[in-house]
Amino acid sequence: MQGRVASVTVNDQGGPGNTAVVRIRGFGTLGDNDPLYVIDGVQMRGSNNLINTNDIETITVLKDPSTTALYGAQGSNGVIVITTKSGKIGAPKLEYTMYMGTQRAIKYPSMLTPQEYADAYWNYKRNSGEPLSDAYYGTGDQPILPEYLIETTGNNPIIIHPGEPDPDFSLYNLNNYRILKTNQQGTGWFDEIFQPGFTQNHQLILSGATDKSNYALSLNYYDDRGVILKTYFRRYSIRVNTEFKPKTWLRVGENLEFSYSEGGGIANHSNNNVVTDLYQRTPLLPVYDIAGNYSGPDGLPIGNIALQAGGNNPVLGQVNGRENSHGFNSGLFGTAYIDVEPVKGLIAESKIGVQLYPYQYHYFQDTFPQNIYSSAYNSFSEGGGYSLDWRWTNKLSYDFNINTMHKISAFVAYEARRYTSRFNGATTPNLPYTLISYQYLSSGVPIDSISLVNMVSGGGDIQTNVSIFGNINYSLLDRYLFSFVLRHDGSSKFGQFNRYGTFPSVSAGWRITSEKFMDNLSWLTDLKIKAAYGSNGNDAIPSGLIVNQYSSDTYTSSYDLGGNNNAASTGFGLYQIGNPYLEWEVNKTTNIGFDAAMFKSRFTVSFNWFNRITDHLLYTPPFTGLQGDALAPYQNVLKFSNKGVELELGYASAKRTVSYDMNFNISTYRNKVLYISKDTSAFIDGDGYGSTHVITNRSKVGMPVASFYGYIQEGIFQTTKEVEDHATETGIDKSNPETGLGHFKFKDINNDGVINEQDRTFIGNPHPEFTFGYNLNLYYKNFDLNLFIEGVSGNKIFNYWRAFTRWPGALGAGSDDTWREDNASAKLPTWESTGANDAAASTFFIEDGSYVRLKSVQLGYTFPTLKAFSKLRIYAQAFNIATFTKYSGIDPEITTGSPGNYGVDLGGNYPIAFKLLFGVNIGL
Amino acid sequence: MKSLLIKITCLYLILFSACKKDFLDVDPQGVVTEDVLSNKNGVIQLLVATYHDVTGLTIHSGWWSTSGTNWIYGDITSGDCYRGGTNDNNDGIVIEQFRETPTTAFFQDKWNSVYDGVSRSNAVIRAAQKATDMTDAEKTEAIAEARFLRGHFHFEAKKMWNHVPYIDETVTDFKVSNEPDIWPDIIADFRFAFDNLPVKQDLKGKANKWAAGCYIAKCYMFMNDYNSAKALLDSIIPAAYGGNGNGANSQGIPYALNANFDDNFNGATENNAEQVFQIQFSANDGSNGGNENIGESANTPAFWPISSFYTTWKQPSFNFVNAFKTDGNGLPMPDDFNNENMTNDQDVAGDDYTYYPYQGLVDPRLDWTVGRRGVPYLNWTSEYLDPDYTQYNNYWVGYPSNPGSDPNFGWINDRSFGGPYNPVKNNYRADQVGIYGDYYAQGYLMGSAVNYSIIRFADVLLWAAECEVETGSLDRARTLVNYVRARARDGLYVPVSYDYIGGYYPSANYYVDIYYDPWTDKDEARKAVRFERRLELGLEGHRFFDLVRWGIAADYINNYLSIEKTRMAHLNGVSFTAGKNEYFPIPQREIDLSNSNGAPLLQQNPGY
Repeated sequence: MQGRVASVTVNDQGGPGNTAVVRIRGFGTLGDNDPLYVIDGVQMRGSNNLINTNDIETITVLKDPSTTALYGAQGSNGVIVITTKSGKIGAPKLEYTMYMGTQRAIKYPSMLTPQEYADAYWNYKRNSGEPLSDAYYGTGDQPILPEYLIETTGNNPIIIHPGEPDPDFSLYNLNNYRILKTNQQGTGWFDEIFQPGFTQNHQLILSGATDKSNYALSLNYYDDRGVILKTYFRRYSIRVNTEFKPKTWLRVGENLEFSYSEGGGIANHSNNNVVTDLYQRTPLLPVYDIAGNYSGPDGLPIGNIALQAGGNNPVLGQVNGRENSHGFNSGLFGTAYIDVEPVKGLIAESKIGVQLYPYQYHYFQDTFPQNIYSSAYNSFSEGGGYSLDWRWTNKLSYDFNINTMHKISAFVAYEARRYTSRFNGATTPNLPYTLISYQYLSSGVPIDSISLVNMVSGGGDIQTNVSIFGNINYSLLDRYLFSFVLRHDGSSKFGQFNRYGTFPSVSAGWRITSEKFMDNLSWLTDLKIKAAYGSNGNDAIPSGLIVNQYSSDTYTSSYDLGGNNNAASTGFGLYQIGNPYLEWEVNKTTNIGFDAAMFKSRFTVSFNWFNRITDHLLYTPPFTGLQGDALAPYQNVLKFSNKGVELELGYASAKRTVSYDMNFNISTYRNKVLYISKDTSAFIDGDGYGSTHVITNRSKVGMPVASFYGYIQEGIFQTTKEVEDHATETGIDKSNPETGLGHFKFKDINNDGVINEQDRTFIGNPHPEFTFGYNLNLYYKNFDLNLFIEGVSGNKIFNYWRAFTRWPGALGAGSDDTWREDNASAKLPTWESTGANDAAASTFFIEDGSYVRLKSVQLGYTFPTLKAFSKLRIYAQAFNIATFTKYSGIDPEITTGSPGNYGVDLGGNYPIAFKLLFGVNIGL
Repeated sequence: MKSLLIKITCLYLILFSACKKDFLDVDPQGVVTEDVLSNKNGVIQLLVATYHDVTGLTIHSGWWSTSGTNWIYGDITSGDCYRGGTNDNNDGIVIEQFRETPTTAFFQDKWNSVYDGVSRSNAVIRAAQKATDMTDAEKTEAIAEARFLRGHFHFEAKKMWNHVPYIDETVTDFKVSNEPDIWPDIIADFRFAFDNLPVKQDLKGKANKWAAGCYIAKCYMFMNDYNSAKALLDSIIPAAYGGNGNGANSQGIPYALNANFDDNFNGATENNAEQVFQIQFSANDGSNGGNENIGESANTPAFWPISSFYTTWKQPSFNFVNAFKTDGNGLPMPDDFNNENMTNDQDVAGDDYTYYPYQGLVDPRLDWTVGRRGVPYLNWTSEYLDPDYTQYNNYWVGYPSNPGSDPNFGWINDRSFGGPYNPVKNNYRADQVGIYGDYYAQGYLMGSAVNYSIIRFADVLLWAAECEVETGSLDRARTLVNYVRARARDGLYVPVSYDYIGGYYPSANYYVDIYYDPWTDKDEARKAVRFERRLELGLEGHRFFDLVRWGIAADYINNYLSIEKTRMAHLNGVSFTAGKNEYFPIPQREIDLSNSNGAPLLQQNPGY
């Protein structure tokens, strides 16, 4: 959908089984911004990797407030309506489609060689005034790379340089004497983890219909092996859609899918995952020690900048994490309905939609003496849970015409929904045998009576909603169209006083081309002007926030009142502060636009202006500690708007030997915070990162939500005079101005002679100026070609990735290009032992995130009608073919994540892959 | 007709299928509400959680910043120790160097932690008031216990920040001014507890009547109201110590000094007659470490297995160690103890086997308080270290001597930053791993179950001595100090044997005795009492607050720094600002959030 529908952004999460992040018309709320998916009438908030997307027949994106209003609270972020395939009148048809192909990461980051890093480290020593001597690199003007490192638990490693006697290999011991032969050329950690992936998909659909019934049965198998070692996703699904008309006034039907999946990707968009590990592990370390066991960091000093040993071995982590981890996710979802039409036009419908998601997992954690903090015992964990969501809708609708002038359709409906979930998990330590056939919770040998108690977890949730809603559509002469929706929604998440919200919507349309005076404009096939205003409530917050919650969490509430030293009494402490006055968050959207078709509908134009205001936003602003150290209460604070325009242009040529159609869309929105609290200086900060918890995003009245916030970096101090003349910065001693040389010069915004937190300001807008997409279909005889280009322009990215990959002391290529007196043009600050605050959030890390991407190209050939097949088409398709950007990180399409870190490239992104697929569609 | 009937039936079923009226009433799952807890059982459970907060470990708290032992705020600021470890620019170092600002995160942590205790105390009171299955006497006792704890948490806030808001169970608008002095409120809470708590409690860890009494005396000491304190202390101190009171611990045992100084810091001898109110730390109790002394878990010697953090924080200062020197009469040398350092291994290589520890006279409390090279560290001998660890086997085998400060051989992380010493009090012994330490000692959690004394009887006796100096009899003051010194003299010393190259030698020359000569000069007496507090209660989290209540913090600390900075580079340029650093900054966020009609209700302390 990315780029194909205006104002819809889709960010690939990349990894196998991960679902894409979809945003419609920017940010609507600070919490859950996922749109509502309606699949054959089943409503799901957020997308779901259990859905077999090959069954999809049509997708419609609802943005207009009068249409989203029908979906109430769940539809506040926009609605994506999906219908799956149903049978068409005729004999049973069997169709087989498949594709398979490979994928590989587009871009590998380049890293320093061990020698380059050692040289940089020697410069660090020079800069810091330390002697050129180090346990790892010897003594002298040139660092000497060690040849062997011997890890011994609890002590510094033994280091052997070339020319020194070899270690006594017979002493090798995995527990306490691991001998590593260093990799002088440098281990390509990315090569070890990134791999070619493989995807295949097979689908069989049987469908047909008679005048009394229709049916479709589909079977699907999908297998995706990702570009990161051991990441995979496999799904098996079956779908049955049937509908029967036993009487002319009675219709009964169901859509049901069962889906089962295994595997998954990695925690994406993180500053702590296998990808960020790769950046932080020195290439000097080999993957395996001399005995073929994985090399570790235990016994190598973590945090020692000479070695940069990083965390645990990422290859060990991926292999062990995946091979010892099992389980499944499954889903049973669908609807069943009955329609009764006692009088023509009057339909009573009762529909029940059900989603049941059971899942199970178990994993074995072995001991790895080479890992830091490796447990002394192995352990086995198992758990599972389910969620059940049902929604029962009863609806009475009536369509009638009063002569041919007035067409009226109306309905009233009553809906109830209940969501229940439960989960549990347990861990047992110390399995005497580690065979997979012995991996059960009963197999552990508890070390003591307490350890088991600590290792059981569980929880659950219940949410309920009720709604009464109605709709009247009135059309006069098919020319003047009016629609009115009124909803009254109730939610268990709100207290007695504010439990219900009432949300009206109205819209009007004028089909100008139906007017007589337009008759002479024959080139204008269709023109419709429309205006709408609508409101939706939103209750997407956790349950139970209206009352103070007390928990018996043993970590913070139990106490040894008996003075026994090993037995605590159970206590109950405040866990979550409640707010009985919580009320519905409201989305109010105004939409004005037109749709036009010209020249026999060959050329189409659609234009919309919208203003989407979110008010009474549900959020947890900073909260006083005087009320207790518990989770802060949610409050209805904040108001912000997304104003924007969308334009869609389409053109379809006449049918000839070469024919084509194309679609171009462009959209823009401006986000602005309108209100936070009575205190006009109030703001809300986002997440912090790294050891100094650098805050990167701040929301404040008048600014776009989650704007970048930090210092203005004015350059690097080149001379001591420059240091003396400038305001005092943290870690720089002006009485000894040498300490400032080579460090970042930050702007003294308030001119008080000191650079501190007061000198931070807004330094960039993460929201794009506009996004666009271009879609071309070209047909020549039996060939078809599809090409799709997407682009984003004007957004800024906070390149936090740089702070640990292209930075003094980091391992990425270019990290050694730091400021020195003989390298004064360097962009990076000097690397030395310092308290200077170069890594603070500043303009240095802000980059243009614009890009244009040739997202996909598909070339197909349909064989002329053959006897054996009703249809035979083959095609080849490539994804992510070319990207044009100035962004210096790995890829500008970073997952947008939450407003707390919107637009921040945390580095731990699943790599964007180039994919090449070949497919076949066969119809019998 | 039949068809119409069916149609109507279907229509009816579809349209009028009713829903339950209370469909939207859903209780929060996996937790309970205050109503569920408003009964006898719930009140006990709320009370347990309130006691838990005495440890300082709350939902969002840091480990070091909120520790109920106050080592960050009371010790590293006082000249008794450094933050130690390595120079990581952690807030602890910021505080040691008096560089804190209103946004220093540790203060927000501490604020949240102490006011969480207040909030929990208030929840107990509200639940008890609402309970219908409790007698009035039961309610009063539960409320008295809650008010004792509320007094404790407000006292913690008061000594940190001086101007703090007082929150009772009736507060619903949490924008509260910090202008009124809350001493009367704190004393009222303790007074209610004193009047309504029994002496003998069913559980050792509970506060009793006399704990409340002692806490009132502590308030008077902090208010410099020596007359009120003296009167109250006389009614607490038992006849065996020259008083006329009935003070007794929560098991009803009259207050007394333990036979051995170290019995106060040993898990095997907790809740003894000397304990007025202790934090009941416990390990392996199902709390995942939540009741361990996690706040001090980095305050151990470096290296496996005793410490998991390799950090060696809270390292005693040279000045503090020097204070334990004694003269030929076994008395301290308050005027010239610091003229030169005790022999130490700050610049001695770990494999220099000719090093010999200080052989001058020292107070035996030194080695129960400070770990130093060549002296046994409790009973941590090499056999408890990794048996394969040949480095120890070569040299230290069998002899429980501290291997010293060389990072390659010893127990110190970075002596250039933290000096050569480790803290000892409240760390468990080698044979107590798994009893007073975590079962998973090899894991990363190494909290201790050894209780920490918020108030112990030696502390009470020394308050009484202070009162006597200020308003009573110098001779009685001397007697009170002598109780404490006599115990130091007569109790167990650290066993002395040191495997010096070529044979065994005593590791220290202990000599301590009581003051035999009468005190005649009030200033000399005051100096002796204050010095005794440092020796007896050193590294127990009290020192900084003592210096402030005596009004000497600025002079004392700047004087300390003037010498100590010549020994430790990280103290260069550090100074204590009089009128500012006596109290810590109120967290900026709290001031911002107290905004009411455009002006904050919380006022910042002077100088920040």
